[in-house]
Amino acid sequence: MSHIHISDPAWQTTFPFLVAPMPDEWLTGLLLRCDEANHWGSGTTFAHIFRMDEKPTQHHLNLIVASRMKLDSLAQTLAVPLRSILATTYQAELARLYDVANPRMALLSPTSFSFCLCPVCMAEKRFLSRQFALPHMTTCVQHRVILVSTCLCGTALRPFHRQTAPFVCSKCGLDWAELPRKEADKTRIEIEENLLSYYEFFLNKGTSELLASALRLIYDSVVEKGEIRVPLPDESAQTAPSGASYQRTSSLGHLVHTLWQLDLSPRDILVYTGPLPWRSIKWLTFQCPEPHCPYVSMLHDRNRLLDETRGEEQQEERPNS
Amino acid sequence: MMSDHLISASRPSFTVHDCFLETAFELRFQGLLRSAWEKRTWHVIAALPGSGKSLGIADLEHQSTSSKNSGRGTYLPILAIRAPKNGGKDLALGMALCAAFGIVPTMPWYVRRSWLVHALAQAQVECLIIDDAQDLNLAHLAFLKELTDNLAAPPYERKVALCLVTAHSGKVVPLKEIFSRPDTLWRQFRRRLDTEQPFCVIAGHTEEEVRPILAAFEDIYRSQLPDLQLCRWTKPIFSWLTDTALDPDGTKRVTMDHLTRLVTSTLRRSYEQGGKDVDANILAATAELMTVRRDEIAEISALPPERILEVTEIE
Repeated sequence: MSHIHISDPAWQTTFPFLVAPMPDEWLTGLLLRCDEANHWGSGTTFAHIFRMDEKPTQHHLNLIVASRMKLDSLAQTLAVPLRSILATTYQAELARLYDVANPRMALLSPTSFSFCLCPVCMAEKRFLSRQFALPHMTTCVQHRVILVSTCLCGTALRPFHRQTAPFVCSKCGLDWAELPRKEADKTRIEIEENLLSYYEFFLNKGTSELLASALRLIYDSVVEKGEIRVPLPDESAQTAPSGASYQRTSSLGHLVHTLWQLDLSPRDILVYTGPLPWRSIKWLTFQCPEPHCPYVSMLHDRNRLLDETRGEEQQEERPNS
Repeated sequence: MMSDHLISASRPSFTVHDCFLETAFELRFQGLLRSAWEKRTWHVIAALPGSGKSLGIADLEHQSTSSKNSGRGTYLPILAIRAPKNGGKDLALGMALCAAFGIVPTMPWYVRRSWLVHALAQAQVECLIIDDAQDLNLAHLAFLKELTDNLAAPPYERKVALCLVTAHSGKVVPLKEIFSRPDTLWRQFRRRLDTEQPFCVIAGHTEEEVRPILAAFEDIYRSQLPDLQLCRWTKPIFSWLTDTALDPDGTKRVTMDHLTRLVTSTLRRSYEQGGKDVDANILAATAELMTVRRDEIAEISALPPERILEVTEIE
């Protein structure tokens, strides 16, 4: 909890009323709570920190990754350590998992982002979990209710709207805490709890090696079943807007969903350390768009070994002929 | 025995200490501010320039329990600002009040205007202090009245103290003339001023009050001038500093600014000459510089001594 006395120079570099991030809170929720604590219109803190005079785009609004400089600026104005602001995004986790300095939202989900919330979390403590931004999550596993993305008036919920107060519908002004609480289906809860365990596994322990191992396991599992139903890379893998080459890769959302579909657990990934399995002849025609796909490298090694073995066999046969 | 020259060469340069002294003036000034804060009364408080008004306000703020806390919220019982310079409209004063809270994002003035009332109420502001209030114009004063009226009205119902701290000269107290005007706004403003002490002038230091200040200076500078005895010079110091050049209104009071300048300048020069106590001749010469020769123009014709740059060998 930050405490600043008026004689502290930080008084002048912080917002009038301070808020501190809650555990597992999403950056969007923190910015809205800051607006509310300071009696500002929804999105005022966001606009101040992100210097956005123009209308924010979907890309800006996901706030699951953000520039380090902006997060640093927010940490300063709220007088909290940068690490606690970073913890409101998946910036550090995605950077570690994909071994990139500046991860993009596409690494989590290549599809467009849809804002949704849990009315119970909202009523209890104005809480927006960063888990709500994870792909395939449609329920609040804590309160076992369906996440809401549309107001009762039919308007799609928007996180920031300067003309309204924070945490209300931009059209009818209904408080998000008053949105209907629909109990989620038990089966769906179980599925999403399962999906969450995958996300937690990759986001808490993930490295690029673990990611490669998971991709290898998925492929081998598909090959073993004799039917390739799941395309490994996303169909809509992203290219950087700048035009610079952006490595085509599997998003975490896609990866998690595939693992769940194939019934492969995080434990399976961890114990999967064996050599390339000789399970299917389909590996001979396997092509992966991943530039550094470890599986392709292993295939090349296998091909070379096979060629060398054949060459030696031919040489051994010649003297007899 | 070391010569004076050798002593001065081996000594580090003289250090001036800018610490706040709770002088008689500050006791009077802060006493009035505290009383206004406690009773939520409105005053115009005047004192001579250099008396220590701004330092007194800053000290009062530092002594307060004003804090920002992410759990308990922001508490700002005393909100002190300096009046905007170069005139300007109500926006200028509004911006100065907002800045006292820290960083406030850009927003239209009509939004900021109502935000300010919210913020003052939420931060539990109890006393507004405007330093250099002689620079306030009619638009600023009208805005102050609007702001305090909004705070006093529902839903906030907060009565706040208002201290307009001004520098004055002669017998004229700034703002007094404005509040005496027949316009409704000024009559309303005048009505809000304290009944017993609406306009106050805080006096400077008497000879008796100068003595403990000199004693405090002795303690502060004893580490640099071990034999320092300033109190014995109280009478001449008081006489010099109440000279018509420094006290044109004939108040026969000493301001803290004049006293500090005389003392620190004398001590620095005494120190640089290798002294361990204040030198009587230097004291008189400094006083003469501040009074009789205060308007003298110094001609700078010689080159400054060559600066010796320190060379550090890096292996």
